[in-house]
Amino acid sequence: MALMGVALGVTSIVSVHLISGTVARQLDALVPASLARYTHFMHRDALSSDDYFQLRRQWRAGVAQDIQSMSPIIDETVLLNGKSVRVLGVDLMSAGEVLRESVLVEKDNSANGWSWQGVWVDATLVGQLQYRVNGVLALPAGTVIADIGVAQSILGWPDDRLSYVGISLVDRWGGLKTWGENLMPGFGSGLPSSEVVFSGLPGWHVRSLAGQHPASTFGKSVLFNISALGLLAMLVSWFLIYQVAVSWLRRLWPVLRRLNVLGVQWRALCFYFVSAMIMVGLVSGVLGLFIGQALAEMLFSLAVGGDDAYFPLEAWVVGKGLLSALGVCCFGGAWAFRSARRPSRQIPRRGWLCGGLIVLAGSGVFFPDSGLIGGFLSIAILSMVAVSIAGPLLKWLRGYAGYIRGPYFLRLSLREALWYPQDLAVALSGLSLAVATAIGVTLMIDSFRTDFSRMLERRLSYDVVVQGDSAALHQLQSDLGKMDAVSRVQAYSEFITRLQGVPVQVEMSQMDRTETARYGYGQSLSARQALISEQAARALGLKTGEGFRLESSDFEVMGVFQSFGDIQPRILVGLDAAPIFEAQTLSALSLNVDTPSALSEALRKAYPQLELTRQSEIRRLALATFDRTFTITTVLILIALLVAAIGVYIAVTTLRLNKQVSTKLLVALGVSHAEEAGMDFVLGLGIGMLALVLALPLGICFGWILCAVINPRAFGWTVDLQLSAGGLFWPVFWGLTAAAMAGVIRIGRKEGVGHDDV
Amino acid sequence: MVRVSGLEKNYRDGDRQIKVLSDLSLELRAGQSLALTGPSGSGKSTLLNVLAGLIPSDAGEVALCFGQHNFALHQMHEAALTRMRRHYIGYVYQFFNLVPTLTVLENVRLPARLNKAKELDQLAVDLLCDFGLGARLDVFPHVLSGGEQQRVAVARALLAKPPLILADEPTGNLDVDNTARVAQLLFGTAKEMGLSVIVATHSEEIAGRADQHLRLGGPSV
Ligand SMILES: Nc1ncnc2c1ncn2[C@@H]1O[C@H](COP(=O)(O)OP(=O)(O)O)[C@@H](O)[C@H]1O
Ligand SMILES: [Mg+2]
Repeated sequence: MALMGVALGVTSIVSVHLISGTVARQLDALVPASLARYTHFMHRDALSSDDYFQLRRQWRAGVAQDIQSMSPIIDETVLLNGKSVRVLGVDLMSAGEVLRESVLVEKDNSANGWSWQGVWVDATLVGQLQYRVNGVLALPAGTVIADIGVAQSILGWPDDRLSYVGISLVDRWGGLKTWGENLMPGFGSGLPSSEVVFSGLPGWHVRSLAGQHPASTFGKSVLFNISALGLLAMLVSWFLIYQVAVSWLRRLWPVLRRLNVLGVQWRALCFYFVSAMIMVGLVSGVLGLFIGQALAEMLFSLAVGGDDAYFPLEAWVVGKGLLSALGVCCFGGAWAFRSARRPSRQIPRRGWLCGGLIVLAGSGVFFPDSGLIGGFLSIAILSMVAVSIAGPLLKWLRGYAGYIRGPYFLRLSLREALWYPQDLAVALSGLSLAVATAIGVTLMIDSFRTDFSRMLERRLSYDVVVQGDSAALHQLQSDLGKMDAVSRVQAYSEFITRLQGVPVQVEMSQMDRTETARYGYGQSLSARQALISEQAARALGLKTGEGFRLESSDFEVMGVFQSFGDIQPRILVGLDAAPIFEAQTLSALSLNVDTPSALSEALRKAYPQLELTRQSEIRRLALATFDRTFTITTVLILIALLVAAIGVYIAVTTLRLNKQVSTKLLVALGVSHAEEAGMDFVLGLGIGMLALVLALPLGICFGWILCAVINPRAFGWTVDLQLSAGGLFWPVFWGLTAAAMAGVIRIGRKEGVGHDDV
Repeated sequence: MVRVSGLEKNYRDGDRQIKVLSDLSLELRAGQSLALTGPSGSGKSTLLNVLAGLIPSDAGEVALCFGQHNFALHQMHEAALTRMRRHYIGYVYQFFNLVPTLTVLENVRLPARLNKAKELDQLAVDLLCDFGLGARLDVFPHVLSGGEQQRVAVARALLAKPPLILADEPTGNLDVDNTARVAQLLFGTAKEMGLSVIVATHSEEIAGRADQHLRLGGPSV
């Protein structure tokens, strides 16, 4: 039993680590290797190569000592043949080596290496460009890498224009961060990114790499959520392992006491017990490693469906799993031994300690500068508070056990749950934590899903969206004017530009009431007014009513709209604003039509080069993607609940030792086996309900922190917490079921006959 | 009425066979009391457990007749035995007679409540008052002294007036005064109510009060 318990704890730790590690590696691949060596990017308005050379001279002269290296970079997204392509221009003098080494598939011109005029592309762009291909790289779809000059010519830019300057800064905490990342994949993305300002260089903005790669930031934030959940799963596993030590000791205790009476020193007995625990920890730790690896593979393919997932048992995860098992077995064993000898030792000033911790948790919540780590730290602290009051709460409730009334079977079993606080406190803490996490995350996902579908509802008010080649779109636009079935045609142009160094997507369209209503703003926009997304508001530090400068014109922010799933900040302006931008081409048409399916068919035939999407289809896809993103989360919660249930099972087995005499008595009084099982079931339910006493308030706190603190810090959007019955029902249901099952199930004991006696 | 004939009970300890009871016969009429004595390990508890249907016998017949109801224990299955125990037998142990999570009053009411006999609730209070525990109805057992605990246990065994009371060294760890008191309550009340009592004991006091006396020998290997 002990062996199984510890093995399961390690299994959960290992599988969670492996899954997060794999996701982290996949996300790292999103940042091209040639950019990965920079930590930050510097930008200023209308950046030219002259600016760059001046910056370089200043740096050489001793300004901004923290910079280790710098080079000019072009990084823009354009539409090429109707396809969105990311063009990366780098200094081949310094980056060429990296590129050559990372060439993945084939070299078009294997004879004479690579050419300065050539480009490197990802597999999807092979044969799509008029430039000579130097090699195919493992890059995100639609990426081109070339020398600065070539990139400028692809973009049609003047030959002195640059996107930004890549720099790498001395990172004093780098070693520590790597450590953290290895130990807890995804950990780094939660660190608050400190603002870098070079006082000697006015006019320059400095941004971290993360700011330049919203897609990978988004992914890393998801990952951080997962890894934080993994941390909770690990905590619950530790509780389980500790519970194993407590229960085992409980069993051994009569023997040990007798041995002590016979003259064996307590110290020797403690040593014996702890070494036995360490043996158990070692054997089951190794077992857990392999089961965990298998479980990770299974879960990953189940949740993500990738078949290329590969989960090596590297040193870090082995160390983490084994050290957890050995450490908790060793220290937990010693601690359990100590508290068994001197029971009910109070931690002095527990109240003050809890108060202080809660204040600390509050500061993590209310100071945005503490970043994701701050948010999760407060969750962790609240968990600790809950755990530390589980024992005292049980003791306190025990004083009121006499007030439990009702049928005698109910009285007996419910009071039983309160009667042995020292045996139950640990398992109860574990279960409370797991259920609270489940409640918090489920509430968050549910609220998020509600907000998300409401947004889709509003946003997807058109029947059909057409995208593709600009000329064809113009043709279609004029054709549609003659059709009766089409009640509204909305044309969009878009381009990507930089604002304070941040890439933003600017969308232009006829911003009348109907259109702005889709973004929760019911008025039409005038020429110098704009709506911006939550992400833009955050990245640019803008609020409603404030102004910003775009392409040397001033705009006023009229409203901020929620835009889940966007990775880039977005700005919406009316067609009246169009003249101030360079001539823009059509990028999409949205239609309201009477017979969407018939029209779609007709348009597909007439314009094969255009991409038609039904909004209902988009909605379905969006929700499917949403649900898939959170599958891993759900799986992790289930692991934590399972581990907690096993903790309760082990605790209940210990309770049975206490109950043996009263069980014998009840049997002599004529209580049948069925009734006994019924009482065990109620006992389990009772434990589950006790856990809920802690888990409900804690879980709702978690939910609120996730919605109002973690989400804005991780993704830049807020979610309104909704205390829905559905969000509370399933975690509560699973928590109670797990506890009740833990009460009833008995492994290795034959149930007696006598089912007919109720 | 209790009738046992040719009862045999063996325990198996590894490959050794321990003969605890062999060819034991006894007969006890309703309302009569019987004291079982004998050295430790002579099989007193074993006999009481067989009579309560808690463990099966290996050979022989055990018959209990309570008015119209006759039970041949050696032929009954577990569920029926449990049911019989609930309705017709009161049991008192030497230790741990009380359920720790129930108060004194609840402990006494427990068997009656298992039989859904709520009408006995008041009798429980009266009985406890008679037993000198009127002030302790709502406390939990762990605060009671040994003598008080045994009095509660006796009260519980008597409450539903089961025709047969089995007591296994009920005064085994009590001092002389308490032994006398518990014996008085057990035998006195049982006689009053017309119940049969079988008690295993080392106490001369108790053995002397019983109508019959059966001495068991030691086990043979
Ligand atoms: N479950 C058992 N398994 C094996 N031997 C037992 C068991 N219960 C009792 N015995 C043995 O049977 C004998 C009689 O025990 P018991 O009836 O308890 O005697 P008493 O109550 O007279 O002291 C003892 O030798 C005891 O060791
Ligand atoms: Mg005995």
